[in-house]
Amino acid sequence: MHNDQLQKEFKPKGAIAFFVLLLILCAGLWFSLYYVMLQKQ
Amino acid sequence: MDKIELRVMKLTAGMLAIFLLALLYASYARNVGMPACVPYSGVFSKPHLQQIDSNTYEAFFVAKMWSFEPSDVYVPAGSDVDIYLTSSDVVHGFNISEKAVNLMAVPGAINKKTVHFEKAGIYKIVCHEYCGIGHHSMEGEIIVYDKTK
Repeated sequence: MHNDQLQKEFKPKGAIAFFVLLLILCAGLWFSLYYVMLQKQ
Repeated sequence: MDKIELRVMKLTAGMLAIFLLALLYASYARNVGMPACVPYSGVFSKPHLQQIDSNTYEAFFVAKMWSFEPSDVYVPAGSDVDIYLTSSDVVHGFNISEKAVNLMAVPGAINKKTVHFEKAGIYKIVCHEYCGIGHHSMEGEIIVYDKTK
């Protein structure tokens, strides 16, 4: 019963944080190259 | 669908939308063009520079082992230069590092890119596709001079 309750309330905080950091890193790289392209235009 | 999964999907869709909007901004508001492929014709095989109006030029570059022809091109500051590029032997690269120009010179094909040169200066062209023993010395220049001086 206790385990069922825990499973229902489980939120993968670590995985979410990792995914969000990955998105931020990806956006950072993408926009840094984008900025270089605009500067060279 | 799981609540967290849905949020992740919305987040990634939002991010892709931001990238797409940024590309549209670069394309339409900042006029960043993509290289184009042009049908091959004999005009391109003769390296030369020609002026087509007061501040627009056409430069026909031919890359070959291990130089560009013409190797030096002179245009005034504020010019738009349509670069047409081909190769007479193997695949070469055509990179102007100060500008967003990154083209391939392919035998039998023409690549075109329009570049605006606002500031006077010497813009080095380098081959950035390994093309043989003289690759490292394969370079050219676009010399942008100040009309007022």
